Amino acid sequence: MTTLYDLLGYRVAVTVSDPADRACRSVLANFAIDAPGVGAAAQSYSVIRADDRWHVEAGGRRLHSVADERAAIATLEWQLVSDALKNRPDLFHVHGAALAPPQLDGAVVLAGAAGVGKTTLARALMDRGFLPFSDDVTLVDPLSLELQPFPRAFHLRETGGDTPESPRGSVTYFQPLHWARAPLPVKLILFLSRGAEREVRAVLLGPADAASSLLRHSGSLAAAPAHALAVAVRIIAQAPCHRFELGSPEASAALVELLCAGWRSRPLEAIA
Amino acid sequence: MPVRPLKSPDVYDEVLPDGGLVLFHSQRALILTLNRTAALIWEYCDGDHDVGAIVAQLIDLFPTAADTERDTRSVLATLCEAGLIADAAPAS
Repeated sequence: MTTLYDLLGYRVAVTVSDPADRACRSVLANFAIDAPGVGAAAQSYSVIRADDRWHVEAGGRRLHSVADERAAIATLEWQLVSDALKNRPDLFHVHGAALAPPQLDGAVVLAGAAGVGKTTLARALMDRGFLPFSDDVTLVDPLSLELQPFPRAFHLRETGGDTPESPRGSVTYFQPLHWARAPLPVKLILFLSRGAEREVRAVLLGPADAASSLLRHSGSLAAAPAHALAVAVRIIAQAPCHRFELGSPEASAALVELLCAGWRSRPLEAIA
Repeated sequence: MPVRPLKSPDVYDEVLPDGGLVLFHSQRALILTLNRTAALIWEYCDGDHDVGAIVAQLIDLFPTAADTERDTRSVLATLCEAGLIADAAPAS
């Protein structure tokens, strides 16, 4: 069965062989669009089974071959997101999750290296009523400096890590019930790390550390350096940036809530 | 140390809110930040000013500061080691 998806305006038609079709549609459900036919698609992708292998193809060209359907779905999802991002170089891309507090009056970005605990903290915040914008791929409009909703299923990586068979490791997915659906200004950026004491702590960064930290977590820097530098500097001028040493999920989420309350206690001009 | 320092064409820069600079060397994938004084030195790395002229400019701007020449040369050496500046082509 062929399904049409829209990722940031990149319309694709995806055809997946059984029995992977159902699982694939579940993972990509938030990007599905209700449009008949595949004529409007910019690219066609397929996941097919042949010779006891699963193959991911784009436009009839074979891109990846993996051993099982789970890896095939993860690889397809990664390929779609990568191609969609290439299609939108205007958006400033940060590796991290982003959420809005229940008041929906701004957005907090959780940036950090793979495996540091972004998704765990994001889930703890969702338990407190925060709504996710995105996981892993956070996108900022360069003009408005607003977070753009990108409701990609949250990735829960299992042990195993990178292998040629499964370049993204073994992945399972988590679909939040509710998402932030409208853009909101970035008001707080947290660069996550694991503190030696395992006690949660936030340290406000000056402009130099904030800019270099944000750029190190940006996927836009290599592709469009001048644009990325200009946007990053505007973002850090608008949003306080902290080095955030993670504690328990509950304690970490409580501190994030406190920091979000901080932006409400200051007039907007003090933040900008 | 270059005689007449010149910014590498592979380096992008942007002014920070505090007047410092963030630099990115696209070939080395290197990010570096400069404080306001080092940012001034960077601006003089235009291939027209030699090291002595840059030092003179900084002394002129900060006449009461101690060790301006040493600090300026130190910043230029750091920029050179990082591949952010090189020597301008000799004037013909």
